[in-house]
Amino acid sequence: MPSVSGKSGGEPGESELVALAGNVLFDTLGRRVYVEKATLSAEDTVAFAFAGALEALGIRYSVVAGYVSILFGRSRRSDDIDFIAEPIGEDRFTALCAELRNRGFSLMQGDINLVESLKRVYRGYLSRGLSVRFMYMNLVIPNVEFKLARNPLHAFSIENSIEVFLNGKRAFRVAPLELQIAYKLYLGSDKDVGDAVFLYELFKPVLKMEELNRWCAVLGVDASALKGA
Amino acid sequence: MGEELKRMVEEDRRINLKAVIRDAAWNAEMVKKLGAKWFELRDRWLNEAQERDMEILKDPKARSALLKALAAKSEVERLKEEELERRLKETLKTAPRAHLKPLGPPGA
Repeated sequence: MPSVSGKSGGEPGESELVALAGNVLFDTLGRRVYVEKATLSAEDTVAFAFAGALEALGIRYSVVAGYVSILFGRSRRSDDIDFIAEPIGEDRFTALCAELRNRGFSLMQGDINLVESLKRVYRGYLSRGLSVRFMYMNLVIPNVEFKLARNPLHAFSIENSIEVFLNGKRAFRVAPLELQIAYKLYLGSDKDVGDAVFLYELFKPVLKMEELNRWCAVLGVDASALKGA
Repeated sequence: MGEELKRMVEEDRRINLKAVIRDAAWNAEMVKKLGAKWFELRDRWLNEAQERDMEILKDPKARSALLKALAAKSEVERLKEEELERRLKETLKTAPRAHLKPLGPPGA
């Protein structure tokens, strides 16, 4: 993990590191987060493996929703790790599935070994805006819920995703935190509001407040829960 | 009676939400204070829970029930997103925002 004291002076174009916790650093210029942890959870392992396949094929993506909070220390579990990818066609989906299969994934909605099955899944789910689920090493939970970007929020999440380094390795990209927080407030269940408050409290020193307010306005959500924390 | 019941449910919901917010803020404080130690404790708990789940899911009935529940969850999430997309369209009609645009070409 890079050191805070060594770089916090910040020449233009260099990183400007803020320590959010002893093992969590945020680079405000590069929009990167560094996390150091002794062990990986099942969620971390699955996310790492799935992102590796997307990156191997150059497919842009962003991890969104509950796992983002869990990654940064929220004490809860999640059934799934949500990935949104840029729109891809049937052939690239088939290629992605071949890569995923080689990395130990299977597909819940079809047979990952059969091209015809994958084409059916693509037409029946992804092309209609529906998500599909992948299991890693036959684990039902946590699984990966995968869908293709279909609205401007998805596109924004991918274009403005932040890079996460886990134990010094480039691990995956997650959606911008300001949008994550507003979106969690929009979803509105106790669990979602809890995630929003957690991210807000942890990342407060590095959040772009104007951006957060703008997303709250776009989604029509009341941000008072954040101030109440 | 109906109104009274509604008021009680809303009051319960308000109290519960307050507790959730307090817990989430406490959780963030723990990450800030304990750093790697917090992650170690939390991950031990996550991994133990994961092992218990794997035991339970050896039962084909439990596995099949979970798969059905996951499918239902995806459907609920899709409906919520459709509602958001409708709302977003309306918002953008009245106040277009430059930062909301379709995804550009790879590498852009």
